[in-house]
Amino acid sequence: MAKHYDIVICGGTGCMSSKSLLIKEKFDELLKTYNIAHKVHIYMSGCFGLCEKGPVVIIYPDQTFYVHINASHVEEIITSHLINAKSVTKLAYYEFDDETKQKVYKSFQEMAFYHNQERIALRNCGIIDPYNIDEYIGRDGYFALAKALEMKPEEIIQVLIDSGLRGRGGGGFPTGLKWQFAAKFKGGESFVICNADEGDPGAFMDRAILEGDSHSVIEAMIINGYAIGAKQGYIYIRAEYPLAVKRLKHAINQAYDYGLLGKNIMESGFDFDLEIRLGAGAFVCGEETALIASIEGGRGMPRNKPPFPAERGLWGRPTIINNVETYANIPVILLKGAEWFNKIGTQRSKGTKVFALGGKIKNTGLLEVPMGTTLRHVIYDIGGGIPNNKKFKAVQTGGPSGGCLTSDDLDTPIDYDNLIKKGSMMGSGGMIVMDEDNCMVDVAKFYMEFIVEESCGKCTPCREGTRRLYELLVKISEGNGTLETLEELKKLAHDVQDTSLCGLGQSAPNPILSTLEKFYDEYVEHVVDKKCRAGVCKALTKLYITEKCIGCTKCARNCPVNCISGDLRKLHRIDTDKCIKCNACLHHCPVHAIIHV
Amino acid sequence: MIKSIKDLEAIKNKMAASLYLKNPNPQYTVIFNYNEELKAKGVDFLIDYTIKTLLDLNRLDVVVMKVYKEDAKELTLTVKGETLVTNYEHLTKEVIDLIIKKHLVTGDKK
Repeated sequence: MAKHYDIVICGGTGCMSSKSLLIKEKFDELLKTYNIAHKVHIYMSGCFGLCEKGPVVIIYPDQTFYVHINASHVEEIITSHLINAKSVTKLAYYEFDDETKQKVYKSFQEMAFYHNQERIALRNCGIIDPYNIDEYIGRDGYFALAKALEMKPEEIIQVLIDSGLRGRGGGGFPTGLKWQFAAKFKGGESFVICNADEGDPGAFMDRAILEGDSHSVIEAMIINGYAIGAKQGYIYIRAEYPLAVKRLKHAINQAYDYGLLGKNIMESGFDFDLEIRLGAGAFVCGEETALIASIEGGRGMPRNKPPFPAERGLWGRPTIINNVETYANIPVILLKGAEWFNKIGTQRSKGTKVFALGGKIKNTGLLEVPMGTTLRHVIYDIGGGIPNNKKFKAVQTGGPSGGCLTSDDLDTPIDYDNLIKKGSMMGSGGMIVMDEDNCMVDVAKFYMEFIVEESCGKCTPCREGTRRLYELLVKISEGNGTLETLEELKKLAHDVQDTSLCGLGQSAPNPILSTLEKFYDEYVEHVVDKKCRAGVCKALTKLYITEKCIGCTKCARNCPVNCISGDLRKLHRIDTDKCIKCNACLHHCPVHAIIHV
Repeated sequence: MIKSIKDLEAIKNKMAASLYLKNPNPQYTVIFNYNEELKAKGVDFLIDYTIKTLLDLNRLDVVVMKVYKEDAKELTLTVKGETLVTNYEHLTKEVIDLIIKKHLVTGDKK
């Protein structure tokens, strides 16, 4: 029976945690009740990207994008939309027209969030059913493998070199060159590893790809194995990603069933096996030598390089480690050619980059844009700007290893080199936006606390140095710092950077150095004026009710410690001795009469 | 078991029919106006017929959809091509066959 509609329900971790599975079950039940199940193809996909609006349901062919859906909405969608062709506008996505300020309902393709993107690594996420290998094949899946098996290994590597693809995990090393190094070591075993140990706070690019399109990574790993002569691959993924692990296992089993993994793949004589290795979630295991140690059954600790893993990696054998997003690009590059990929992006950063956009941004979610796209385009045109009419302050790229960029950098094209020039880095793609309510000392403290927790402890500069850095930041945020403390902080940050063993320690001070450089006046306010302008550092903040107060009593009613008093329609007062500086009053005041002093 | 690119192509062809509704760039979009009154008149069979005929012809570059039009008294359809938008009325199975044959197959206006 010909289908009239496709119903795609977001089955990414975000929407699943908001009970999107119940939505699917309700659809299944009611489609039968209304006797239209035969006209509808319904399934759960991977992440759509616009997590802010989840759970999301898209109805094709009209591409209606329903947002914040729950099971109670399903019957109305069926009776109105599917049966009577009348979309349920109160649940549909809309944007405001710039001129008329009227609501404009937008289809999936018309939405600013999507039409400003170019999706290569995310090409199938939110489109295909991740449990159905045939849907992947239906969108050219495994055709790149078939093509690769007809090529010589060195030809495959040359395509990658010519494409200019650089590693998307943070380092940005040219992928083709890395493969070429490993391919040089003939004889004996070699290995292929996918680094899916995504650990940056706020980053979920790799998780989304594995949940929505595992086969793209599997296909690329088989090609990688063929290109360097490896017969065994491992996907190292943190156990904290259970949905991605489940879908990956399912996809690997399907690939074996289809003869795309195992012996004599597509009758080429090439054998390749793939296994999953679960990590316990240590951030340091994202570092390739620590990851290898973990797969070998040792403690996840890095070692000195060289030798690099391409020469001596897993069990001392040549090993290629690429991250999930890097792999997801490879089948498309092989199918469409190096020249096609090379035309996207900037001079030295080719292709696209996936970012996990979070923090103080309207459209929290996952997006993919060509390298060279400006921060302004990402934050305002795709991200929708800063909520609550707040002022943009900074964006942290590269996670705890990166740095912050300010409004001066908004028109900088994003690529590997520009971000380094600006004192940050691409990292794996986490992008945390901050507004005027973020304290930059607190931001540095947050990342340093994370690093202190995650340092493996092998080298002294990282183990001890990051802890001392954190203590200095605590001292500053509690009002006990001086200008000398800032000097000490800077010197120690450089020492840790220069003397740590691995990338984690070497880059750990970046958020401190970056905020010190770009927001030095805020640090000075903390140590000289004993003031936190954002009102985040509690020891340096007092809340004060100004004359704007209209005496509505909302602040008093929402104060958890009853420290606000005042008569109706009269100016209220805060008992600062009792106040715990939770800011509840500030957030509830309808006339913004409460300020930090 | 997939042994060659032909096996992949066979699966791809099989899947095309289930992926076509998500085609982001169809060559033609066939839009039926629709409402409760038209539904009560029993026009669904014409829409079903159109979809089935197009699928039988393997016209996966044509997407068929219904759009709500409150005051519509008669089922009509609009064919949107790359540059041309054409409206058709007085629909019957025969008229639909003609539209498919003359417009969607040969690309003629009418």
